[in-house]
This record gives sequence, structure tokens and C-alpha cells, in this order.
Amino acid sequence: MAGRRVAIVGAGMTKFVRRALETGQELAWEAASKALESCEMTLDQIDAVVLGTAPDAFDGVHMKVEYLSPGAGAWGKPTIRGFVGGGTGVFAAIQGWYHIASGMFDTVLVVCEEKMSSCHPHPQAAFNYIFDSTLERPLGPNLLWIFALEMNAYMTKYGLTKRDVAMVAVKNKRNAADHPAAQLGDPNITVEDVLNSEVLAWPVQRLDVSPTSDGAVALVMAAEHIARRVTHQPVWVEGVGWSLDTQYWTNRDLSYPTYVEEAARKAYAMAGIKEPRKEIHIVEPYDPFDYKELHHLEGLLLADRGKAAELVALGIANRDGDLPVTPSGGLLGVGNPISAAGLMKVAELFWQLRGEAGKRQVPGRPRRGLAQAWGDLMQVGTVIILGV
Amino acid sequence: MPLIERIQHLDEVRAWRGTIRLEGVYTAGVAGERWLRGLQEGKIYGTRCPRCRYTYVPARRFCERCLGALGEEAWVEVGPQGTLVAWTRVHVAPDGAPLASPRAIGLIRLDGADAVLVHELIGDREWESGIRVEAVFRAPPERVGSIRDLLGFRRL
Repeated sequence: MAGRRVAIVGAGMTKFVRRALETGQELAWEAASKALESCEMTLDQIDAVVLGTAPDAFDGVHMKVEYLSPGAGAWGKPTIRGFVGGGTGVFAAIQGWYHIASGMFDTVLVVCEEKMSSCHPHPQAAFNYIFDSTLERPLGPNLLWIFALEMNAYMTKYGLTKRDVAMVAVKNKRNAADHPAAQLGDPNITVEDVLNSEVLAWPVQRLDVSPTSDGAVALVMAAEHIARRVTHQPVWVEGVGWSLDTQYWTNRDLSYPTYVEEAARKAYAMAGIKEPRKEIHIVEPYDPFDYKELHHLEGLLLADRGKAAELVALGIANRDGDLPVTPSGGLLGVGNPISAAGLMKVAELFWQLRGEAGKRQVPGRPRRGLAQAWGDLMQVGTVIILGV
Repeated sequence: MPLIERIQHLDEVRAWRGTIRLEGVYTAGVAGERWLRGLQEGKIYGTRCPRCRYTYVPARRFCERCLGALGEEAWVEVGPQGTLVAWTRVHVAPDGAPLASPRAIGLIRLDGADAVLVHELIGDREWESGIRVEAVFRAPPERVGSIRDLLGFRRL
């Protein structure tokens, strides 16, 4: 483990909703103040702030971190923006870790916010400008093209059916029914509901996709000597990793997320994990699409290639299974305010490992968990491993 | 030789034009909604953080200095008079076109407030920092709950 030991000592989040009256600043404040309250700390005990947020276009505010800073407690403090697209939520926690591990700061407030409801007609519109301006945009591409092509390639390579994949959406939306902050929890959803939902770009249907959301999440991170004073249950950062694939999205391995494997191997090495399937007790892989949870489980080396769907079909991925996957309900169920969704996964591990997850609590006292996000131009993998 | 020295005019190369079309639909927020309703009633509110002894205008829902909540008890009426902190006279529009009549813009610290509000200065007057000014509202039927319900500030 590089540097000083770092723990998460507090966490807070807003409800994830389709459209919040709260401004982005107010959302950030709700999450940040709840995180501080959760560990009975005050802002004057915080040395630095990491503020993660995805494209400015979503909130419709340019230089969004500077705009959000009052709500995140950044006034008068060293502050940095975390931004690797959808990977931001997990990356912001990694930035919080290295701020402290380096010895530079003892306490960091990590805040992630997204207010996607500002962006009209749909946040997808902002993504139309990620494509090559002369070679791809004349074709009228949409972000969904990438996912639809990738999902189809993945299903075809391993002979997976739509039903196999839809079970992920069902699991996560049912799990989210137990999350008090969830936007799309549904205890009664079925595979048929997913298969009968509107086709967006084959094979992607409406219920294969996470919603757009407004929300914020915050963590308080601390160096060991502070963490032990603040709480008797610090949750330690044991490993981190991140890696970037090519920006030429057509050239990636469509059936396997190499960038996730590279990030995971770094994190496992740092955490001294030799057999991840035995040593990881709970996993929160990034699930903006149902197939993507399967994809990422394989990249995380927690399932053989093409076999992640079996974990779901056999119930191994259920909350009471041998490898609980996305017990929070994930992006598909809790919602997807991009950067906040990634940090929600880290917060879920914090609550699960402390036995504070309420109705969502994974049985058997899990001691180590992994959260992963995916982003930039669908090319970055970010991984964090926490333990108690 | 750098590219810029070789291409003197855009029409010398084949260019692809693109526009980013996005519309923002914003909410004023929990504190913002109430603050704008106050303007509609002809009142300017602030919120005071008792811990930091700082009064925000427009009213905020939290104190950025301590992250404490600014709830019901924090709301106080400020102004309508105040002091001009700084001013400018604007002669060109953002696109560089000259304005037919220059606009005066000021920073006003309302009586009872610590924070400073930016708004129009009304009247063809000489402005100077430190002078006393007063808020001028639209007539009540014309108010819609917007920052423009306040026409600006006039010299006292």
C-alpha cells in the first residue's frame, strides 16, 4: 500500500430524483452537510475539498465546480475538480485518497453532484458533441449507438439472450426498492417488463438503461490518526486503480472491458488481493446499462468471460448470494446523476461494511468490497477497494 | 512554420461547421424560489448565519462558510436602501456592438447585509462608490417573481 493509510469516516447523500427544485449548490450542500453530520465533524476540521462532477452541459453551468463550490464547503480551502466523465464518482474518492495518502492533507471532503434535469431536451444532446466533428457527426450518431453495438457484440460472442441480460435490471431495480434515496426502485418488476419496454436502439430497451437524475453524494475521508479518533468503524481504502482505453471507440474490444481489468489489477495488487473471487465480499460495478454490469464483473475478474450472467441467473449475485452484486440497486435502480452515482457506490460499501445498510444490508458481515465506475468517452475504468 | 501562419483565412481550408444546441431549464432552488416570491411582494430578503455573523443576499439555504443550515429563523428583510460599493458604465454589448445608451451597473450592499448584490443603476446620474442608493421595483401587477421585478437602484 502506497503512502499513509486513509479511511472513509462519513457519508451522506440526497435522494436521487428526476427533477429537483434544489439548485446544484443546494444538492451539493445537502450531501456535504449530511456527510459531516454522520461523523460529527465540522467544516473547519476539513483540510481540502475534492469536487467531482461530469460535463458542465448537464447543469447548464460552465465551470461547474466553481459554481458548486459554496455548497461543497470549498470556501477558503484547497479545492480540486475530479473529472473523468462517468468514472468521476469513484475517481473523486481516489483523489481524496491520494490527497491524504501523500501526506499533503489529513482530512478531505469529497462531493459529487449532477443536475441533469437542467439539460434540455435531454442530456443525451450534450453527448452528440463527443463524436469526431468531421468523420462521425455527419452520420448523426447518438451515444446509444455505442452501447447498442457493444451490447449486441457481447451477447453475440457469448450466446447470451436478452433475457439473460434483463435479469440484471430486475435484480438492481428490486434491490433499489430498499434504498430510501432511490428513484426507480420496484419490488415487483419482472424480466417481461424489461423485454416489453420501448426499443431505443436494438438490443437496448428503455428498462435496460438507467434514468437521468438529479442528486449528490459526499464522503469524509481522513488519515489514520484522525480516523481512529472520529469513529470506531473506519472503512479503509485498501486499493485503487484507474486506466484509459483508446478514444477510438470503434477499436475497443467490444466484448471485454480491458480498461476495467487494467484498473482492477492495479487495485488488487495494492490491496494484496490474489484471489478476488474469494477476497471480495461485495461488489458495486458500474451499471448504467444492465449488460454493462456483466461486462464489468468480467473485467474485474469476478466472473469468467461470458459467464457473469450465470451469477445473476443462479442468484449468486443477489444480496444473500455468495457474491452480492450492486446491493444498493445501482444506477439502474437508485438512479444515475453521473458522478454522484459513482460515489453512491462507494458510499454503499461504506454503509455495508459498517453494517449500516438497513434493509439493504448484505448478511454475513462483509469485510471487503469493491466499487467501480466507467467513463470519459466510454474508455476509463476506475476501481476502489474498501475494507474493515 | 506554424499552421496559423499558413492559413490566413478560414475559406482557404475546407471547414466543417457545427453548433452545440442545448437549452438549460433551471430551477431557482429552495431558497431562490422564496427569495423571488419576496421580490414579487416588494421585499428583499437575506439569510443570516448566526455562527459566522454573515448575512447573505440573495438569501441562501446554507452558509458557505460553515455549511450550517439557514432555516426559517435565518430569514431577515434587508434594504431597501444600501451603499454603492462599485460601479461601471457599459458602452458595448457582449458582441462588441456599441450600445445606443450606455448602461450603469453597480454592486450594492443593502442595509443589514454583508453580501453584495449586482444590479442596474437607474438614472442618468454620476455614480461614485460610497453613495447611498435605494431599490426601485416594478409596479406590483408587473412583477412575476424574477430578478427583473427589481428595476434597479437609484441614487438617494
